[in-house]
Amino acid sequence: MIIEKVIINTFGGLSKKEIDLQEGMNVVVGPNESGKSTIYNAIENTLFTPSKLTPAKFRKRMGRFIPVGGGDTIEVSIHFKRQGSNYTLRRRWGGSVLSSLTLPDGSILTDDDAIQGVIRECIQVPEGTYKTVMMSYQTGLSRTIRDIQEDKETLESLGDLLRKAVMEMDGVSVDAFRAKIEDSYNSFFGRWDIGANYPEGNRGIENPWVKGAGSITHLFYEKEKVRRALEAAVEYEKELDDLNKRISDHASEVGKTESYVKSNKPLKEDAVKQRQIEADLKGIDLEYEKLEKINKDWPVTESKRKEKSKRITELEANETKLNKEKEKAGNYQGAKNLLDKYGKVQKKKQVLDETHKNLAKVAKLTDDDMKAIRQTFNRKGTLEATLSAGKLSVKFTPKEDTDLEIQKGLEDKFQTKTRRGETLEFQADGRLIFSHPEWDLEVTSGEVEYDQILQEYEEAKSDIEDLLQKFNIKSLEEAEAANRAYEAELAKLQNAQFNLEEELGELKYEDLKEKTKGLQVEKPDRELATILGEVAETKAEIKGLKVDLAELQEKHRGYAEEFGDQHKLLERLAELTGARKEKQKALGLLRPLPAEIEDVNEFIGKYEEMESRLKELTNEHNKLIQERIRLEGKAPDRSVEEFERDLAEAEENFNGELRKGTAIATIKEGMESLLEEMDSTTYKGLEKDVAELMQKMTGGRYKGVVMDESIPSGFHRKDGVTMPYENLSTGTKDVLGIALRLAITKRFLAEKEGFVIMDDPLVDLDPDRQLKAADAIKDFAENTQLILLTCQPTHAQLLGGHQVELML
Amino acid sequence: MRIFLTSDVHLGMKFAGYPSVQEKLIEARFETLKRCVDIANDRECDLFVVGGDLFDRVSVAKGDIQRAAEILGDFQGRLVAVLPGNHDFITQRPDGLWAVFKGFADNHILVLESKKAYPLKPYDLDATIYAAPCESKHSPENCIGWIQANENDKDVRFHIGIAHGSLEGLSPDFDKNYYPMTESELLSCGLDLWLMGHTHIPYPTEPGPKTRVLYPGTPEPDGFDCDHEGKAALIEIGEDGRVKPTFVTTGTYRFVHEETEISSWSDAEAILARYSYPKHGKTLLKLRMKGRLPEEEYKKLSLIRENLEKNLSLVDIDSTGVTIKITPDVIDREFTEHSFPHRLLKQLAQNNDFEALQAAYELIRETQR
Repeated sequence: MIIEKVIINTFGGLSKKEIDLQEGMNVVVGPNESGKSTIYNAIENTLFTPSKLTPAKFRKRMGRFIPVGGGDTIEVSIHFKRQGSNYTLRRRWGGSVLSSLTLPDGSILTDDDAIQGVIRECIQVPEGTYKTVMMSYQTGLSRTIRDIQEDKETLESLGDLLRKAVMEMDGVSVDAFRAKIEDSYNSFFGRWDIGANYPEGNRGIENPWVKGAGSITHLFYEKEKVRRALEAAVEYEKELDDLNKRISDHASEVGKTESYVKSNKPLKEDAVKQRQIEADLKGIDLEYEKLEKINKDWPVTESKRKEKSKRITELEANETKLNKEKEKAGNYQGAKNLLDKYGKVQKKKQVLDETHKNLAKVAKLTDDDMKAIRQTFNRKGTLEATLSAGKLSVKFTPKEDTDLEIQKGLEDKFQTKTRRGETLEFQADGRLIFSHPEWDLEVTSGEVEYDQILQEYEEAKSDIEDLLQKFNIKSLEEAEAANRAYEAELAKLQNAQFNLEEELGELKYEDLKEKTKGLQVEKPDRELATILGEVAETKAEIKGLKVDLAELQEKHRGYAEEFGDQHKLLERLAELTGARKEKQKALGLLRPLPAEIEDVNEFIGKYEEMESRLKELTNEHNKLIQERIRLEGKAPDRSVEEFERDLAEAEENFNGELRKGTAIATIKEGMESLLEEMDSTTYKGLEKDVAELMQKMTGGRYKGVVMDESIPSGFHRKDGVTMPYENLSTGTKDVLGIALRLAITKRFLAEKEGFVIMDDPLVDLDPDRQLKAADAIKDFAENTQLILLTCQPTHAQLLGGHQVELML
Repeated sequence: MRIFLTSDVHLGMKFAGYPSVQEKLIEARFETLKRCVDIANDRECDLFVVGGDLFDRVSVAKGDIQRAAEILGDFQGRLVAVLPGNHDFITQRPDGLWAVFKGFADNHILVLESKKAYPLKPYDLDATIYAAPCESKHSPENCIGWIQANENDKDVRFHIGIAHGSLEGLSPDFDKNYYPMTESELLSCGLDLWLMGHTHIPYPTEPGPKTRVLYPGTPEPDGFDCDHEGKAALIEIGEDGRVKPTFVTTGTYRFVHEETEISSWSDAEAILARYSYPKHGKTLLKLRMKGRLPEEEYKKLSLIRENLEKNLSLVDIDSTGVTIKITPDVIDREFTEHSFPHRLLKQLAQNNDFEALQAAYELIRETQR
């Protein structure tokens, strides 16, 4: 879009004013208050503000352009062209509104929205961008650039500068925005753990955060407080319900039990009386029965007692008689036994005498004697064996005939004649004796003391001879036989002696013999055993009768003691009959118990049980009532239903706050990632344009931009020195401001056909820099319609181009 | 015979969630009870029935109990019959709620504290009341069992049951813990009429001669889940035994919960028109708005709040669901392409996160020089 003419019918301080503009450089020059701002605002509003505004909007947006002198309407027309085609845009605001866009074909649009559509097509860049970048007359970009030039904020690098220039073109300070987001975020999420969706450090309502708690944390605690109160109220109501149920159940049981006790009390009292009377009657009956029995038994006992006494007397007389018969029979039996015994003893005495005779007939050779004989024989045998031990072999050859007496061992000596040269050869046991007239030769076995043993042997032999002689026997065998014969007879004698003594027992033979001398016996009529049996039977009968008698007497004595006499017993029986009648009469006077009560005792037992249960229940009931009073003392001040409502409100508040906070968190996240991304992409190409403009405006002193990765950090100076941004002089920074503004404008407009309105950028430059900057601006205006507003005629002169002069 | 029926007055309710109008709401319940008595007197009712929950808790203040007894004492008919409900159930305490109440009540106020028939002949009314009072806050069993087993006195003209608890199909009682009853159970008792309490909304919606079970609803709404004007019932029983029940409006305050979507200023103006003064001077409004408005209109939302707050008793507006209609065109118009705000807003707009977009837009505006 190229603006060709602006016709201000009336707008702000201007009226009936036509401003012609051309492609390329246009410089509107005039002193302050001459209408530069009005022209700028007239162009901006005609292009972008619809004519149909609400009164409020009109007042706010357009009110300041109503002429001070009067009238309620403002009107501006703009003639512009696009790609050679002409358009006329006319706007009127206030009392009479109008929007009209005459298109190249002559047709006219009056609808604001349709007109805006065409305008958007013609300016080719978004409206906001156009307003900020291409119409940077005292706008955000303009102010930002000025701030950079004036170094109001500390910028440490060219990167900071470019970032600030680009990001904050709309006058939005990223840092301020970030700080606001952080503040807002903290005011929501202070002490809140988003991941856990719970306060930080798991600190619930029991340990709440106070310092640094954000609104979400705060509302969470509020909500939890209500929840806790609700839970307590629910618990309380449940407890109270349970308790009331128990009390109600209990009251029902108390009522039932009480009703039973109350309604059955008279019955129970009658039942108790009935039980007592019945017990009395039973006692009377028992006593009556007993007395009646005694009454019958008493004479019977008496009769029996007499009968038993008589019988005992009879039996005792018979017993005396039997004892006499028993004595007689006993004497007979004693004599008979003595005689029988004596007969047996006599026989055994004869046997004993016979054995004495037989013993006297055999030689007396006892076992002890036999033992001595055997020992002597054994000793002789042993010595003989010893002497015969050691075989001697002799070979004897005389050199001349020789007579010899030889004894070999214990053998007898014998005589022998031996011829010269004849060899005599024999053997001997233990000893060999050669006797020659001229010599004796004794040869013994070297193993024993031969002479000593021989002597003992001879003594043994002599002892044997003595013994044989003593017992008049010839050999050991004979001795053995004699010993056996003697011992056999001796044994018979001992046996006979034993038999006799056994038969005698304690008696002595002579005494027995004396006792039986002249003894005669007479046989009784009955056997002693028969008599003894009869005596025993009689005694037993007497004993039994006496026991019976004692019992009868005891019974009799008891009756007498208890009743005195039978007459009195009969009187007592009569009394009992009377008492029974009285009790039966009393029983008859009681109300009859219901038929269902079969057992009075069972009924009374049940009643008493119920009565005791009623006491227990009453106590328990009182305790439950006390328990409820205690519980009700802890009653919450609101019902569960009210707490539920409060909780719903609290939850709604919390969730609402969480939602708002989440929106801020989303912005924060988006902001951080966006800033990171912008840092790495925003400056691409921009730094090159800035460098070219800097080179042009500083006469080649600065020729390039130093990049620190994707971030510009300073300038290459033509002398090879690299200048960081912070080291640039104020003047250079001013130049950089113009370069930056032109570069950004160029970047957004690119090759598009458009106009740029700019305030005077040369204000703070020295004359030399002004010249160079004016050249650069003129270069820029070669491809773009530039409308530059200045109050400096000298600047206008430097810039050249189409000049529009405004007068006060 | 004319009967005035109310229930669920909930005297002593705290309304802690509404601190700015708390005292007024507490007071309103007493005023409404008085209004009920006045209406009953105007209509020359013979019997004034409270079908349970006259009080909110068994632990209400003694002064409140006295006040309630005095208000009911102003009834000029024959008898006031008060049934203990599940909130003000019977306790056996000698100093309990009903013992205290009876201490303050005059002779023509009868507390129906037993499950039994109350003959009304002593009060010159040819009727018998069959009471089903509550003994605790909750109960899975109702209290009308004894009536089903009871034989009615044939010499009495009208047999009226009074019970408190939930009615299947009407009251929300998912756990069946509020003395649940069914209509058929009630009808099987063979009574002429059932006067009920518990459910805060009136039932049936259109009562008529065939109505046998009647819930008057609460006479004074108590929360945003109760959006009627506060109701009670008037029942006229003709000599021929015909029942003619009607509902009367009794409430002072009205709770209204509205969720609305607005897309233009005219929608917002419609809200203002709906809640005009003085018609809604005693209205408590919970307004939840959502939608998107052009910025100029959005800025005027505060006017809605201001107007409503000025006109209504309580306004709880959540308009966080309403955002400025920040379209990509708006962003292009207002911000420079590639600038930080332009890109941030575009990004949020693209994600349709309108709440974040709104917040970012406002913060940007606050930050912008």
